[in-house]
Amino acid sequence: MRDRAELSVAAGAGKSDKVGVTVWGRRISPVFDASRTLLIVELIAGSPVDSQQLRITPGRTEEVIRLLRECGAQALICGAISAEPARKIEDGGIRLIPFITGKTERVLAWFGSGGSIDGYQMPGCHEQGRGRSGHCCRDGGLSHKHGPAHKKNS
Amino acid sequence: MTEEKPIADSVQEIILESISDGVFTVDHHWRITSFNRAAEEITGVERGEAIGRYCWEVFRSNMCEVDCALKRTMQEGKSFVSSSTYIINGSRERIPITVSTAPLVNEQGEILGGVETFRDHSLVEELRRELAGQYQIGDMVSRSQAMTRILSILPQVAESDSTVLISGETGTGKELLARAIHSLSSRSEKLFTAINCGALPDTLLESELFGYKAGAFTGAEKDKPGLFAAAADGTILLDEIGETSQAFQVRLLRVLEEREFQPLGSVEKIKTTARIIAATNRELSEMIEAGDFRRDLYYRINIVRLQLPPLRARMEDLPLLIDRFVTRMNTRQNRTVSGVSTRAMSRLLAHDYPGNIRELENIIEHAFVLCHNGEIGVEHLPGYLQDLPAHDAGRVVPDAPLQALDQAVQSAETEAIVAALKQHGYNRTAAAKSLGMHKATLHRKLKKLNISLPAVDGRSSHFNA
Repeated sequence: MRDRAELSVAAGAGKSDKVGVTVWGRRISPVFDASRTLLIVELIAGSPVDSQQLRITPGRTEEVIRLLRECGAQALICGAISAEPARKIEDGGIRLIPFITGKTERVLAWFGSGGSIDGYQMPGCHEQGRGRSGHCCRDGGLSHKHGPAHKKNS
Repeated sequence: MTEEKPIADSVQEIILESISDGVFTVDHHWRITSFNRAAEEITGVERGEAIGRYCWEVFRSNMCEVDCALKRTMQEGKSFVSSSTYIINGSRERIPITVSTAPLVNEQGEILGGVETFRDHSLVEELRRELAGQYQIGDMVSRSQAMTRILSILPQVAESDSTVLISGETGTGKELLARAIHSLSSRSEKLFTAINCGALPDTLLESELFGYKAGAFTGAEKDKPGLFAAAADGTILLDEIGETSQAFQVRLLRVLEEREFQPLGSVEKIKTTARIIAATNRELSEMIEAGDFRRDLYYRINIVRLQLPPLRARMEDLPLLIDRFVTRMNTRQNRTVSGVSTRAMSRLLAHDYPGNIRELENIIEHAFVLCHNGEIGVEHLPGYLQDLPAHDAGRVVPDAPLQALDQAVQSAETEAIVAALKQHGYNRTAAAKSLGMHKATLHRKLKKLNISLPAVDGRSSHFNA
């Protein structure tokens, strides 16, 4: 599975990539386990060009994995997530970018640009790149050029 | 010189800091304005990081999105209490909590925001499980002796790295058990993958497991790695192993013995270190006698065997499983179903579950279609359970005529007695006690109601042992 940096490179080369995002109105849903809406976004050259909103049932992680696969999404951006669904998603070959917060539009712009994760992580998530060791976010430690410096999300 | 705080304020602050309940306050924009020490401990978020952030970014509760108690408090100016909720901390743990909210009002009576108090119930939940004699590993939960025996040795089985054969009727949780072994093993960071061997023809099964090279067959335009390659150091569950052909069994045996496989169309062999778990709902020893399963493969996979009992042999787990399914459905469907009524429970206890736990889950899901809150009653159960007297549930009987009142009373008595007997492993003393009657009265009623008992003697051996 490619990581986000590679995805961004591919997107930069004009290739289409799809990413799933669990949303709550115009924001990233705070808790994946209770989330009800999955947004599938197509990015070309890092910019969203198309999106599709799907209803999901909280607690049915397999349903989310199936939808992501059917739509060709290789990554899932979500808010807080507990160990069990996180494991299922990662076992399902989906790149998980958890404990992300903020307005969907801005998060997608961050994702497409490959900028710094700072400012989009939920508070209390400093264990970057720990992956399955159990802590929040696995997507830190990439080479980031820009991005807001730990700002309060608006 | 720094300005000193009034004594009352200092005392309030000390109290707030020393209590074990988490407390935070928000303003009208849902930004956190204060966050006490216990809140830091429970959420894992430091005060400095929490202050000024939106409450849902810090609190991360399943209520935030659809049923925010704080929002209701701010809208209605009233306090609310929520008992069954959870938050997710930075270690991806679900922390069960209780929550109470109140409006934050100043001396002039103006609402400045809201205050949320929450209590960590992890220890309470743990103690509750221990008191109930539950044993839990991963998604599997039980208080039955048969299951506890399996679950208690699971850590050693997981550690051993040996091939495991899981057998059990359909719907007993073979894949859950395999997942539990994987998650307890040193391979837990690696991939767990399951394949249903019975669902695929030989060639497709081989290409799924071993992969293929471009040009291996028509349509194979590029190389495709199989599950063995994808699993690497992970775990592969070969479900329904008993349904595979003899030809496939030979190839699988070779992989297990030589620890290497050959993708279709390739001349090279690839080493594998994946752990194999096999599962079946068939009796493989009988299949060997019938010539349907290779004896050499059987001995190769039957190094550690775990036999999952059918649900009818662990009926003491029924309330526990029902409780778990009700909680899960409530979360999924945003309902407030409180549980199952006594009469409905007696129907459920009287059924013999040929489809095992999967059937029970389907029954509860069916009930959720009709029941949106309160207790699940007999009327919410599938027709085959609600049409029949409890002791006959699960068996097909012709339409019964309307019962007279005395018949209805007798029927209800029969239901309650049969359910109590089953619940207590046919121990008549215990059943009589739970029914609130003397043992002699129970004997009289058994005779009067013509209730026949199985040969099992509840005094000397446990029904489900």
